[in-house]
Amino acid sequence: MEEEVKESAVFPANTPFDKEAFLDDIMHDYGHDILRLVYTYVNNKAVAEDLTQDIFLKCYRKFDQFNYESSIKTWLYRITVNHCKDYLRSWHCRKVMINEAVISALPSKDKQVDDEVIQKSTDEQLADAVMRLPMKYREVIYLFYYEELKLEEISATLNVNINTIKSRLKRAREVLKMMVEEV
Amino acid sequence: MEKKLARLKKSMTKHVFKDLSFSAEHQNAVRERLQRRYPFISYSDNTLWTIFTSIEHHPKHGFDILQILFHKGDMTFHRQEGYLYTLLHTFESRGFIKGEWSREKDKWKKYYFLTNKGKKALHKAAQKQKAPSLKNILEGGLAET
Repeated sequence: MEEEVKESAVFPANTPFDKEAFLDDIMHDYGHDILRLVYTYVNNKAVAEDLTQDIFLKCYRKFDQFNYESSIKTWLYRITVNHCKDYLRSWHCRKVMINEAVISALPSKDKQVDDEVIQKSTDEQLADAVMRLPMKYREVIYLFYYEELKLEEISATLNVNINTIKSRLKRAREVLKMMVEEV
Repeated sequence: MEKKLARLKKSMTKHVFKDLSFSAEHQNAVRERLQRRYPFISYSDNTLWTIFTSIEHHPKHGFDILQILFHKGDMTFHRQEGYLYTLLHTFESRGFIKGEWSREKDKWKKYYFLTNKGKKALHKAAQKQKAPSLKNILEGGLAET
């Protein structure tokens, strides 16, 4: 007890919130979720890992701006989504994407690829189809069915009106249906 | 479609995210980047506060700053004075403080003082500290609303 009193005498009342501990906590609690969310935007493991690190550093810097009107999770996801979209718009990313598109458009040597596609389970086909959806449909499907967020939370995360979210979900399901049945 | 989508979580985890993991190494990499960007991060705010205010009005030698810290009961640099000098160097390289050499009885000493940038940072922090802490409010009683 006496020692505790001594401690608080050394660190008076204005000891600031421990932002480093906060960073450790959010990395521990949300690291995997953020990485997966990032991956759904960039579809590349190495890029997703880099961006996730950037995002946590950003959260550290922006901590002062966090207010308790939104949950930590919504706040983190919003930063993540915005960061990913900024990245996708960046010159660097566009250059990488064009290069990859050129490489994948090159004729492949063997017919094996086609066989693999046919052998995919319906579950896998659906997961692939989700990843091939246009971004505005992919993100709502992911947040709703994978993250199981409520419509209001999705609306807050994406900063998009709730009715728009609903109509995008509806349209996304239609598109997905076409994609899966086509195969 | 709804039925299939109900299984999306399982199938994406299995097929799309199978090699993804935010490992301990990734977390460490973030911490290292943070440390590199803010080398003073491991020091308590009180320590930094004492250093900045001690040289706000009059330039001081590192040894004097050390004495002020000890006097306040801050033993952060006790038996590791060298860290204070690296910290001062960090702040100098970022323009918050400036060190000037001056000669005293045949000895050269470096005196540190806050630059305008350093003063601005201190004032900005002081404004934030004016916000009453919960502790202060609780100590003052809850009668006032």
